[in-house]
Amino acid sequence: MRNLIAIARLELRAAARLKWIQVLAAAFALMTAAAAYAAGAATELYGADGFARTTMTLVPVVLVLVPLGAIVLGVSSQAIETGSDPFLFVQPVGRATILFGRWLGELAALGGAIALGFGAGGAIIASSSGPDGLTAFAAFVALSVALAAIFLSLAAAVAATAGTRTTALGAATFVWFFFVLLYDGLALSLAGQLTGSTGGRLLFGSVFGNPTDVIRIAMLQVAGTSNVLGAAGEAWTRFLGGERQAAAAAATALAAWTAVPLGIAAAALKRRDV
Amino acid sequence: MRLPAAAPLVAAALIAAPADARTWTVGRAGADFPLIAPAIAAAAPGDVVEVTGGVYREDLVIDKPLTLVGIDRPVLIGTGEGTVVTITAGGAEVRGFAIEGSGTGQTNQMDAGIHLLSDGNRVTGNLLRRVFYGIVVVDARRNEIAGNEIHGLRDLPFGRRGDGIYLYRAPENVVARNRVSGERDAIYFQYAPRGRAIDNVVSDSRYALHDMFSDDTLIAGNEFGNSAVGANIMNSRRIRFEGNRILRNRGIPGVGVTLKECDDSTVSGNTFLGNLRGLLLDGSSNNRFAGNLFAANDTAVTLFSSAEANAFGGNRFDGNWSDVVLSGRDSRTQWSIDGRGNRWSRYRGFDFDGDGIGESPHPVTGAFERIEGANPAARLFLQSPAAAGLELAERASGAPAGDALDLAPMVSRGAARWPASATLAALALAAGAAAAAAGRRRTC
Repeated sequence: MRNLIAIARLELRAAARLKWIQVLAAAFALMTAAAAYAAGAATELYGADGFARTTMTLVPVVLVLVPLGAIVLGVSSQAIETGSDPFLFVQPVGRATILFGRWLGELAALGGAIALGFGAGGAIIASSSGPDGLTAFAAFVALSVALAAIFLSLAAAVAATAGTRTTALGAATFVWFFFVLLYDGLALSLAGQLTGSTGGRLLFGSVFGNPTDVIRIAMLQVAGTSNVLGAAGEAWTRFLGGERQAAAAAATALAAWTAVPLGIAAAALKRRDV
Repeated sequence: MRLPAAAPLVAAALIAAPADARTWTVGRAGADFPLIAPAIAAAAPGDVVEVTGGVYREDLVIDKPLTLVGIDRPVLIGTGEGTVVTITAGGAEVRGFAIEGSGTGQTNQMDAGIHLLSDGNRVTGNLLRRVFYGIVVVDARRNEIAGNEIHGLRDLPFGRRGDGIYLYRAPENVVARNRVSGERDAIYFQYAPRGRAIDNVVSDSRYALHDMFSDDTLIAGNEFGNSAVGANIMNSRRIRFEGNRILRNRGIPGVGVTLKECDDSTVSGNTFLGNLRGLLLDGSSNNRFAGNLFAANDTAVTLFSSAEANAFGGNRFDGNWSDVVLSGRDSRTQWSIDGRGNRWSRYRGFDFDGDGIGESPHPVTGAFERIEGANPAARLFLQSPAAAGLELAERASGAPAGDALDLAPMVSRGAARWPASATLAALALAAGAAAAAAGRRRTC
């Protein structure tokens, strides 16, 4: 346990020094302020919906940037290198401990950047339009951190299974592209062709095959403007058997998308010749 | 012969208050009666009954043309069964009361604050609360219901509330400047043609305005907000819906204005702001939508294929998540009127000759909206990067973007817009570059 924490702290310190992580945090703060300004253009809605509309605007940006940051951070830290890694791996520390420790440190760094960036932006909104919707915005930030955790896990799995660092970075970039753009693009194209209830069910089922979709829907439903998914959102909740079941299904899916790739990474790392 | 200038005024005053009209007082020290009903019984047609503040526990029937005036807002509490004030005489007036304690809608009788069964009455400046129906007009015309405040049973689900102002088989009535909230249907015209709903403010109801089988209704200057549906207009023709503010109607089903089986109507100069769906057309044809603002709605306009030959011109579409969703095939919708199209914040064309009209047509639906039109479940992919990606890909490929086109989109001069998708792309690129730079440094 002590080793795990030591490695996590080491990782956090290294990641926090990265310029681009700092830039990312600043970018999140700026984007929140900009999105809040854009949402506030409809001034009559600003008081009631300031946070919700800001969140709606931020969702696609978060879905692009957070996985990208996680993939880059995860691969560059978890990929086996010829430099310091052999030194670390001969220490009396389990490989899984190294893996989880690094994952924790990365999550602390990226999650911290997300929380700080959005926190600063959120403080600006709260100070100008009041704290209504602040809890929902906090949930949105938490879901962003969960998204980071999932893609850090995916990055770890890719890094542990790929042969070289370059292969890992390439494969992880494809994973990002697949989940962020390609998967939904295919699902949407399919949705245009498959109408009717089968098409609807297939589309609903497809959500669980992509963690960014689970996160996005949770973000919209928890922190978006009320009833934002309309009839489709109602049908989605019914499909999952009610509100509580829907929340449970989403939470389970997110936990699985975090744990399973980490498990795969641990297993692959154990067999690996470093 | 020349009459003095004041003659018409004097004549009007004489008509309004005939010489033999008498004022009866109720409630105050030295009043004629301690309760209102005996004063009504004693009064002759044309008399005034003045009721001073205090609490009166009685149900009233006004069966002659009297003016019933509340001074310092007396509270009239009904017996809790049926209606509190019933007006059977024409030309009566009730103003300045707080009225509560009708029946609760458990029986078949009319449980209302005020029930009008005759023509030409005025109900003004009253406060109605803890009543099932607020003001009901049945089989009566030319009544004026103005400046009242009506609060429904907002703690109950919609189905167990009454309506705020309900007009049944009642043509030519005026409903103006009332504030209504917490009702099932806040203002309901049923078989009530040629009525007017003007400058009312309605919130927190199922339908802020409901209009069924009521042709030639004028609905103007109202604010319909925070309800499941702002205005639900069905089976009516020649409706004029003008200058209303339709705000944040986001319940289920969540529509600003629904026109169902409505023809030959005009919807103009309204503001649709922050609704789940701004305007929904179902089986309605030959309607005209001009000069409306659709801003910050989730979907501004939804058209079912059963809605034919409608025309949209001079409207502004600004910052909606989706502008137009066509459910099924587009059926002869005109997206311009007399060569004037609409102003779209998503328009990507240019106005080279500076005549205020863009040179290239504007496809009113985007890729995402077309998929949603074919399969409503696709709404689940709202705000996904892929939806934006499809949009970009379609634009880049120059492929035909649906057959619903605004042929004369309006453009503000010099209003170059930096599209949100470009911001997104730029940010993604910047982050990618930063990440690549960082990655390189770490390898060294």
